[in-house]
Amino acid sequence: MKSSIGKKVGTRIFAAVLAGVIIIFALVSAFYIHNFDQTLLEENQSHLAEVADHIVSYIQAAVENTLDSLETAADALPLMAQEERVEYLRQMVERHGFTYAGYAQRDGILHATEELPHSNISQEDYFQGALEGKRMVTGLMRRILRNRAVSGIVLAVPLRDSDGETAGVLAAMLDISRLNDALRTDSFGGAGYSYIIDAQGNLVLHNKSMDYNNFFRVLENVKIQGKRGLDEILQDMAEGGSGMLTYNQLGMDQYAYYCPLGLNSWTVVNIVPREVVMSKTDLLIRGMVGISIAAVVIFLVLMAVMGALWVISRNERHAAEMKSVFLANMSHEIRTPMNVILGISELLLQSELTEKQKVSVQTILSSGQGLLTIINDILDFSKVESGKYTIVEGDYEMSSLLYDIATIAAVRLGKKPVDFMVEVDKSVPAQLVGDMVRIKQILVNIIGNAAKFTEEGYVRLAVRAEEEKEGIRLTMDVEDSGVGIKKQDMAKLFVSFNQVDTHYSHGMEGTGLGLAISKALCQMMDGTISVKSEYGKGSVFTISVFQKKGRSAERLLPSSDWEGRSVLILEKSPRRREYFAGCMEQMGINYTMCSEEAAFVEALYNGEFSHACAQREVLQKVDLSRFLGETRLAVLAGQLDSGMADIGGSPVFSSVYIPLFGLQLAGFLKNFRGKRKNQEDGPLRRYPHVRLLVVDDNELNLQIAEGLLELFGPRVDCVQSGPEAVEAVKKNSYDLVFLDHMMPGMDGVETLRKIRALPGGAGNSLPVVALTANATSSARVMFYEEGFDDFVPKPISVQRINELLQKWVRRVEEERCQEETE
Amino acid sequence: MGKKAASAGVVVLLAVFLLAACSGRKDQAGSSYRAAFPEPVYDWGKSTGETLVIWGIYPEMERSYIVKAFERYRSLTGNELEVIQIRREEFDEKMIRVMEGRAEWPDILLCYGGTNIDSYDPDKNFYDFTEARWVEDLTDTAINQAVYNGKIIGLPHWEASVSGTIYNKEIFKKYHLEVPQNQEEFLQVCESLKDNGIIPLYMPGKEISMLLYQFPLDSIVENSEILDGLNDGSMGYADLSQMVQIVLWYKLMAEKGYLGESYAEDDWNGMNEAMDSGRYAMMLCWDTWLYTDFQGDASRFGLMPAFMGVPEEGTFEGPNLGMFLVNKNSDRLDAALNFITFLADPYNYNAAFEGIYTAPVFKNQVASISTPQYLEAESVIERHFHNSIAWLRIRGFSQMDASCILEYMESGGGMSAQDCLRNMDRLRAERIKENPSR
Repeated sequence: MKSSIGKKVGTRIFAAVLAGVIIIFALVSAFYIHNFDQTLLEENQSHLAEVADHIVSYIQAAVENTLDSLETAADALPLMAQEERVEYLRQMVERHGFTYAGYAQRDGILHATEELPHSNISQEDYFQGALEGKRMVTGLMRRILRNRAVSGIVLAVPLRDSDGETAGVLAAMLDISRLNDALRTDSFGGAGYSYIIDAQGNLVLHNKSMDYNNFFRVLENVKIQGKRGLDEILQDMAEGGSGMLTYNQLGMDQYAYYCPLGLNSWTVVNIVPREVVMSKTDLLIRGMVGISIAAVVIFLVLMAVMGALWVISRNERHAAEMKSVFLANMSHEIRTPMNVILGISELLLQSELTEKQKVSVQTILSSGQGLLTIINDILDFSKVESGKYTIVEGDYEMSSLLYDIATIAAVRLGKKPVDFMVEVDKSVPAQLVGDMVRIKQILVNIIGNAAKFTEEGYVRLAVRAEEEKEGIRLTMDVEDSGVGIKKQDMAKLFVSFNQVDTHYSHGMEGTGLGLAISKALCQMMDGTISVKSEYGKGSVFTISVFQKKGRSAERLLPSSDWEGRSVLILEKSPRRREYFAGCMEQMGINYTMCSEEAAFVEALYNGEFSHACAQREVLQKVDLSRFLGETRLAVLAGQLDSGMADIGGSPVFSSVYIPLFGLQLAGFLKNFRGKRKNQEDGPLRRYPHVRLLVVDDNELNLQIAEGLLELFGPRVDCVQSGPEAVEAVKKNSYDLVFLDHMMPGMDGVETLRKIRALPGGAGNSLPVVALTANATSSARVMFYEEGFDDFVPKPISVQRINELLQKWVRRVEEERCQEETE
Repeated sequence: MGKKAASAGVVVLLAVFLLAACSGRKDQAGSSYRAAFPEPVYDWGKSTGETLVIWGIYPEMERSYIVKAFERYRSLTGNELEVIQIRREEFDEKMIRVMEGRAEWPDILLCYGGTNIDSYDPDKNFYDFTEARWVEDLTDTAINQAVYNGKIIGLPHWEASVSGTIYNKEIFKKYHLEVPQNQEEFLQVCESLKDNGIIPLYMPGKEISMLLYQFPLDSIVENSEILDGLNDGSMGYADLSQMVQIVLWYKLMAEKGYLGESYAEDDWNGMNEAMDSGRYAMMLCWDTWLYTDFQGDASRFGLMPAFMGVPEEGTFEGPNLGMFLVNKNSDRLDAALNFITFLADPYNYNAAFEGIYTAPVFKNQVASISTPQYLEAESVIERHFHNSIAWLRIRGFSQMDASCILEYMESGGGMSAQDCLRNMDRLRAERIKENPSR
């Protein structure tokens, strides 16, 4: 309910903010548009004024030029005979385009080129003015001639006699349309119109019709906008002023600019519809509004998309969380029985078993651990996707890595006639700092693929190292004689979920993630992974990773001087003989290789070999009495035999595990077994003065933990729930608590909080180790953040327990032991 | 809620933008002629109870604005009108009888001016309105129709069209054609149209009057010497190089196929279909035809000058206006003059012409509607406008003389332009001879 109300409030706030942004945006736009409009209007007024100036100049010049022409004629006319004068004027009329021309003497009787209704002009103002010596131009007048009517202006100049006295008048009528060219000045691309009006507003010249043919009449019947009224405007025009006015005529706004023509009190008026003036502006504005709306719509769409993506993302996150929970749960559920299997295996190894039984149990243990690694890989893939995958660095032994790999390879190859061979270069250090688990994961992926797709022949792992910067560039080639990869599939190999024909991406037994994970892991270790392959002949994967140097500079292959040692080997397989020879030559060992049993036996009896290796059944037939016993014998153990234990039933012989031939031979020659450094091999420290508490809801897990811990001799209490644990801590004094992380009801974290919160502070200093199936690095960080002092991943290993006990209770044990002694 | 909020936001946004975009728009403030002329401008007398007799050719007085004006007169004055419409073929006969004194003159006569009334002895029989107040209210175009022998012989009261070339704007746009500015460009446009399968010009040859050769002739006879020469017989069409150019233009249009194959058979009735179909791009005509006769979408057409050989930049021809002439010897002269004053009053003619497609005849005629084509081309019309004076001023002029041009167009090489023009001169001379007063 609260959530629903919160959503509504949030939505309203969002809507309000959105509306606010939109309104502000719109207001700013409107303000901008208004200013833009105003500026453009001023510029257009300037343009109208320019057009008007042009008209004024044109007409004034035209009238003046005409008057000049008339004066020229007036000078010539008195010199002519009277009967020639009209004819002369006719020529002038034709030349200048006059409607008619005529002259009158002081009596005012006009002698004209055209028959006029009234020939007496003595009362006309222009006649009177010209008689006074002035150049006269009349207003617009309409003359009805014989078969037409003409509107025009009459221009008049004085006629002078030989004494220079005014003797008459020369007049000519100019059709007003002759001045129309003045109005052809292009205004607003032809959309603007120009008029010349007289003092009464009548149109004198126009290039567009006008209602009433009278501008003042038009203004009387329109709505004038602005501060000035009609009377004020008319007065301004009458006084020869100029200016701009705006009016609305039949719903259309018009802009009119007026200025005096400087002739006959006429006025030039330029009119242009507002929509023409603003057409460009409106276009721009429309464009801008369109763009703005589009921008806002895009903005809204993006918002909607973002919202949808957020919802999808939230769902995906939820799904991812669910997946993580599922994987964690699955991990826990798988690990629980695995813990039982592996724990019991470890217990069995600690019990009295025959060597054969030990080998079997060891195989169960190794394979189970491999399976757990795979489970962890699946868990970690989600981290690869999310970028949360981390590399956890630590010291590791190269030999441990190789033994594990050999074991897993042996399991994968099973009974296939495929030899797995590890070739170790002299340059490979015995110790390195890095994430061995991840390197192992990569190799398991690649070798697993090789094993799967190689039906006969070999799978070879060649390891070499090269110093780089302050670390080691570790390069591992995995070569097989399998089916190989088609060229067209090579590029797809390392792509996630890519199911190429080669099936090489099935390193994770069908997850399709193996090579992609391997590539990601390599990149995280500043490395690469590449492949060369020939279809039908096999492939070579090259893995290169950067590792830090270990504390010891010791090489994996001892650099001992092998002088005085010679090795006799019986091996029927040419490939293995070649493999053995290569290893021994690299190590500088004298050897003799036999392919026949008889020759081997003969050489053994007759030769002086310090060491000899052959198959078990051959060695068992050897008559030990026939040679001096100086020769140490070792069984060549196949990959199905355990390389970590002596051959069952043959305590006399050592063993050399073929897949790790070089490594094991070196140990054999140095009387060193070359085994993985397990704590099982040495005596376990005892903690009889220490009391431990193990908390786990699973009874089997409790038994395993208890059994493992008993190897170290402490007193162990077990409880199956958080409350019981709290109660136990309250009642008893423990030196260390192993607390399961996932328990029904009160889980590990809550139990820990309650322990820490116990009165008296006893729980504060009590070291508590998390028991967890979630072995990811992020889980480890989480444990520390929750207040756990350490953690131990399930299945619990004796080695890890040994480490933890040494870390947390060794001092206590020693102190109590000391106290007891004293 | 989210959807509503988003919708509201969008609505607010659009509303604000709409407001901003329309901020410049103002309320329309129309001004009608009623506001400008709320009462009579002139004094057209009181009711006299007299009945005026008006003659006109049938069906000229059926025109809506004339009917409306008559009804308004009856309504506002209480006077009666006896409207007599005479069939065209009887009209001349009737007037001859009038002139011979065998029939009585009507009080008022509705007819065209110029040479059309030569035979009626206008100086003797018609009232001179030169000094009437309303003369100043006539537009320059209208007054020129009313001038006769230096007098204003009647009141033009007619719809005024502007003639030129109507053209299909869609076709021009489709083929990226500009409106031609001169004779050469016009022919180029015709060629382009033809290339695109469009017949450039519809010319109904069967309707001889629609050859309209008076369009270019108007500009020629603006020269008074030419006009006088043609009228006194000292000059003929064949003597005018411009006339040669005109008839050559017809010939060229026909030979180039710019008039289509069937122009000689095309008639008036085909004009509507021809222009509506889109098969033809242009037609010589007057703007108001689009609104009085054309049944298609008039907005598809524009008006441009008639390019018929001369003048170089083409020509628009002004209207031919019917006029009311007053029998100055009538017993009811005062009533007749009052009737004319009534018609000439803006208070009345705006009511009569309200909503009629026409260019103004009177300066204060604001209730009629100028065609969109006229308004669109107004500045071009102002530049290339010529009053319709050929048929008004040339004695013996007849549009039917274009039959000679048609004959020339179809003659192949057997007839020259001069032959054509001489034939036209001969027909005109015969007409003058038959009726010397014309």
